[in-house]
Amino acid sequence: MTLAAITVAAAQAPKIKLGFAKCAHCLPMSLTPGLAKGVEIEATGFNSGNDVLTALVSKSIDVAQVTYLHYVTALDKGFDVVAVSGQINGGSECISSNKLALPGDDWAAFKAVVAKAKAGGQPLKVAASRGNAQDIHMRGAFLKQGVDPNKDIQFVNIPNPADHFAALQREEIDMVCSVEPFASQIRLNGAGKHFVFPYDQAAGNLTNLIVTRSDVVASQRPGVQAVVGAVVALNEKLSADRGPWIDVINKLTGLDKAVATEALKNAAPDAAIHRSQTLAIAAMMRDLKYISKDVSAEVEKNMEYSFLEQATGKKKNDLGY
Amino acid sequence: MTSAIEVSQVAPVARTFPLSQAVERCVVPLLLIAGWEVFARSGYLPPALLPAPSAVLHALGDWVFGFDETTQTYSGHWTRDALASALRVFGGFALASALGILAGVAIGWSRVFEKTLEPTLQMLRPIPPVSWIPLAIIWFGIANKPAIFLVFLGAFFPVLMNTIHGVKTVDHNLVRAGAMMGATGRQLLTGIVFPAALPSIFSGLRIAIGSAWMLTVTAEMVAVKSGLGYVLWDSYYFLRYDLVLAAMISIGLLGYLSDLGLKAVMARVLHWQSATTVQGRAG
Repeated sequence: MTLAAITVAAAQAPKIKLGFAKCAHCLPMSLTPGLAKGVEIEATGFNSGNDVLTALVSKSIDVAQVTYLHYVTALDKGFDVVAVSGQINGGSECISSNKLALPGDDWAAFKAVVAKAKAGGQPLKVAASRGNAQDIHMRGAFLKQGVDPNKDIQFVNIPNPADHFAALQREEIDMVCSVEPFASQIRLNGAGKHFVFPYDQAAGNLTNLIVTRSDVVASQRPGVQAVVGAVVALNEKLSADRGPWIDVINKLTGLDKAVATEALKNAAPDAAIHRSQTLAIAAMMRDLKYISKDVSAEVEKNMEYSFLEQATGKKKNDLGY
Repeated sequence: MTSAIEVSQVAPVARTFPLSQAVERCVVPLLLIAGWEVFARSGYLPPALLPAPSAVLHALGDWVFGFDETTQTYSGHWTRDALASALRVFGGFALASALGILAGVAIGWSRVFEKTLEPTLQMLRPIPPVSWIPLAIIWFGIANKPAIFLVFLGAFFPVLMNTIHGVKTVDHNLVRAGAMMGATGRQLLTGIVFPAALPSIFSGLRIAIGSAWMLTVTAEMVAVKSGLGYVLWDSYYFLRYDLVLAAMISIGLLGYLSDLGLKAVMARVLHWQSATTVQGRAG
C-alpha cells in the first residue's frame, strides 16, 4: 500500500473514543489502539469505573470498559448502555489479618471465628469498597457459606482500595476483600494472608465488561466491531503471554513487576458476556438495595452478542449467552 | 464624581425595604434554578444524568424526612449525616483555629518563631489536603480521626496566614503608645496587638470555615460510615446524581449557615469596629 493510500485509509477509518479505569485488569485496554484494525482508537484512562461510565452516558466517549456492576447500575438508572464484549475477570481476594491466624480456604475455621466474635459482642470487621465487584463476590461467597454479611459481621466500607493495605496493617479490620493489584501488594508486604478467592457463588468471577450506547451502535457499527475485534485480539495475546500485561501495569502505575506478576495470577482474560451470572449479580444488587428495581429484562435485552460473534467466529451460546 | 462613601450612603435606604432586598438576593438563584429545570426537562441529557431541581429537591426531601424511601438506605438519615459532617468540620476547624491563631501570633510577633516555624509551614501550605490521605490513614487509622485531620489541614492555613498578616500590620503607633505607658511585652501582645489583629483573624476564620466544609467531601472519602461527603461519594458509585446534588446543596447550605454564625460572633466581638469602617458606616 502506498503512503497516499495509507493516508486515505487512515482518514476514512472510524474514530472511537475509548475509556478505561486504572486497575490491573483494566490497564491492558490501553494496548487496544495498537491492535485495532480499521479503526482509530483514542484510549483514555480514568481514575474509576464510575468516571468512565459517566463519560460514556454523557457522550464524551463512545466505548467504555466498566464492571458488570456498573452495567447493572446504569440500566437501573435508565441509561442507554449496550454490552458488546467481556474483557477480563477475576481480581478479587479476601485477605485476613495476621492476628486472625486464619488458615487459607478454611471456611469452617472462618465460620467459627465469626461466631465467636459475634457471641463476644465484637463482630469480625470485614472491609471492601461498597458496590464494587469484590464487595459482591465477598457477600455472595459469605452467604453461600452461611455467613450473613449484614448480620454476622461488621462491614467496613473503605471506598478507595489503595487504603485497604493501611487499614489491615493497623489491624483496624480483620479481613478485606480487595482488588488486584492491591491484594497482591498487601500479601507480598506481609500485611495479611490469603483467605479465599470469593468466586464460589452465583456471580462467579465476573469483573469487566465493554459497553457502548445504542446510538454509537447505530452510527458507528464498524468502529464498535473493530474495538471488539481489538479486545478479542488483546485477550488472545494476554492469554498466551502475560509479559505485555505486566509491562503495561509497571509502566502506567509504577508498580513493581513482582506485584504485577502476582496480581495477574488472579486474572482471566475472557471476552465472553456471561448472561446468567450477570442476572445473578443484578438479583444480588437488588437484594442489597444497591439498585432500586428488577432490571433482569434490561440486562438481557442490552447484551449485544453480534459483535463478539463476528470477532470470534463463535455462536452466542458459546460466548456466555 | 461619585465617591465610595456616597455609594455606601444608599445602603441604609435599601434596608428600609427588606422585601425588595430579599427579592434582589433571590433573583440570581431563582434564574439559575429555572434555567436548570428547563434544561433538565429539555431531554438533551437523560434525566438520571442531569436531574431537574424538582427531582433533587425530592431526593433531598426523602433524605431529610424519609417520606417514600426513594433514597433507599439514606431515607430519613439526613440529620445523622449532617451531624456527622458537622462534628468533623467543627472538630477540625476548632483545632485549626486554636493552633492557627497561636502559631500566627507567635510568627507575627516573634522573629525567632518567624525564622524557625514559618519556612516549614509555608512549605507545607501548598500541599493539597487530598494528598495527605495515605499518611492520614497511616497515622490516624480509619473513621473520624483522619477525616478531622484533613479538615484541620484545609482550615489551618487560612487562619495562620491571616493571623500573621493581622499581627504584622498592627498600627505601630499603637504599640509605641502602649510601650510609652509602660506596658510589658505580654501586655502589649494581649492588650493591643491581639485585639487589633482580630479583624484579620476573623477574616481567616471565615475563609477557614468554608474550606473546612469543602474538605468534608475529601475527608469522607476515607472509611467513614456517615456524613454528607460520604453520601455524596457513595451516591456517585451508584450513579445517584440526584443525591450527589442534594449532598452538594446540603454542604453549601450548612457552610453558609456556619459563615452566618461566624459573622454574628464577629459582629459581637468586633462591635467597636462598626463605627470606624466603611461597612459600619453603611450599617
